[in-house]
Amino acid sequence: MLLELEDVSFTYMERTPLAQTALRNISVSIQEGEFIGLIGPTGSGKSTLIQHFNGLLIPTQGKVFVEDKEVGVEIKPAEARQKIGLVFQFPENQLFEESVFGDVAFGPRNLGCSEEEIEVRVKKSLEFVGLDYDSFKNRSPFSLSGGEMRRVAIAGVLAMEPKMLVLDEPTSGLDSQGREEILSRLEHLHHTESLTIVLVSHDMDEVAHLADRLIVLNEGHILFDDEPRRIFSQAQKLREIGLDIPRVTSLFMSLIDRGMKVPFSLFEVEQAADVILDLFGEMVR
Amino acid sequence: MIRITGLSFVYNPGREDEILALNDINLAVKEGEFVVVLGRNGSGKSTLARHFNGLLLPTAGEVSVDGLSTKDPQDLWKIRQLVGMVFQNPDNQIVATVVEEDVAFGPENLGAPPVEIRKRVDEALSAVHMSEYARYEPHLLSGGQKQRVAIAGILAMKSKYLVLDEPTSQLDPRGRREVMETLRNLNVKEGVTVVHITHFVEEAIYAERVIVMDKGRVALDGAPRAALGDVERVKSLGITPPLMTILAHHLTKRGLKVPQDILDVEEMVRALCSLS
Repeated sequence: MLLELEDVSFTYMERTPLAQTALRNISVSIQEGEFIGLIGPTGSGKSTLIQHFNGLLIPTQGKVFVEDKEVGVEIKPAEARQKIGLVFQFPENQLFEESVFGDVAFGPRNLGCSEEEIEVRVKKSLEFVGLDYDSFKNRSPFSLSGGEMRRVAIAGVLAMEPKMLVLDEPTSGLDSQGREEILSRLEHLHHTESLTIVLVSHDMDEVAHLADRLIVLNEGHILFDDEPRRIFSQAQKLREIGLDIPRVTSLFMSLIDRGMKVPFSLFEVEQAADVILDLFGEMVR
Repeated sequence: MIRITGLSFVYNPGREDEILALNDINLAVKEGEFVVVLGRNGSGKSTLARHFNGLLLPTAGEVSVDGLSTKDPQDLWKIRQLVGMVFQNPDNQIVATVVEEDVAFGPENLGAPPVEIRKRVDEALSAVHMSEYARYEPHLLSGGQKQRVAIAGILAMKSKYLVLDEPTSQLDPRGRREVMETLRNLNVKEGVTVVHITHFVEEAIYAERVIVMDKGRVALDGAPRAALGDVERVKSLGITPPLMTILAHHLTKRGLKVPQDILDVEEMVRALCSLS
């Protein structure tokens, strides 16, 4: 197993009057090659949870295993961080070098890679995120568009050659083109490199489209952990906790309520058009 | 009325990295309007927003609020009281440790008498449906609630114009809905003029007018249906149209007669049900 959390609980400022429990008895396993969407309302513990994946936070109770080795006991947090790459929210705020190359090279340089190895990794990482090495390597990160800056930040994490990439709302604040660029690169990485990906998102359409498994977090515990189409059949429960369902699913559920024979497990607009045309076929000229 | 005439704005003028961010903008926002501003990253949306209350001053042209020009230093404070701004990050805008004290911050600085401040704070919190949280510590609130407190702070200043720069971008679906419903309420019930900048094209449903910015210019300006119904044009401006508009477009192209200007799920359901 690539990652395993065993009965993990976490309390901020434990044993003080301000103690706040953020995670309660979380048990979850993630296998190599999965694409997981992690959703939950604000304050449900998503960011706290992913910081446990690579030893940035140590659980108050329970254990975390990376490749079957317990973090902090059999594997050092620093080593776990290399295997599980975390991309925080607004990662472009953490760019600081004068050139794109310098920024992406920062991680592998800290790992002690040789200059040749660093160059190979930077080149590969920039290509993974769809930025041409030669035209971008010498540019200042601060001269780039929002979407480009964010992709440089993601490349910086990829250059550590992690087994798993965890991204905390990587499309937040981007326009539709920037969003599209990031998501299609993630999809590509998953398919061609079989990179394991955990995507934290508030956009139900986004996770419905990409993930093959969804974990729903609410008030610090796991509410659902299942295939997207099964989770999105729980529309009422999701709305109760402040989430939503994909818009096409919502359309089809309304049609079902009105007695039409359509499936609800559809997420793509093209598929939706097919089903509707089948249903109303006789009306097409 | 906020009147913008011949507004151009250049970042880093005279330097190598000089950028023309706004290029000869002419625009008027009337009292009582609800305007949604869309546009890709770098189209000039935020730069435009920062001109509404003189956070940025025009390189050329003029911005005036109720007849007061942002060029006049002595009118700037009056303008900033008339035009309140809410930004992306809810955590960066709250200054006090108790919700009602945060809302009181603006009117206190305006020198309002204590009785008046109390009244304004109560009214403002009630208008955003946050009265029961008056004594809460802000860090205990959700993102949507924090943004509503930020909006209350502006209402307490008796601002007529509310300019919001991507206030929903960091919120979960419920938080987004809360903020949008609050804005609609303030617009309809309190007559507050709203200029809402967003990347979420679906939020245009709440507006009576949509402005799409592109390369520092106003590329589209009209009612949401008219502005967003033209799928190809909207796409060419870097905006993905609402998903149901795209679906309507697909269906029409393949011969099914549904209106082209469908914006949300409810309208699509109605259109399809009227077919059967």
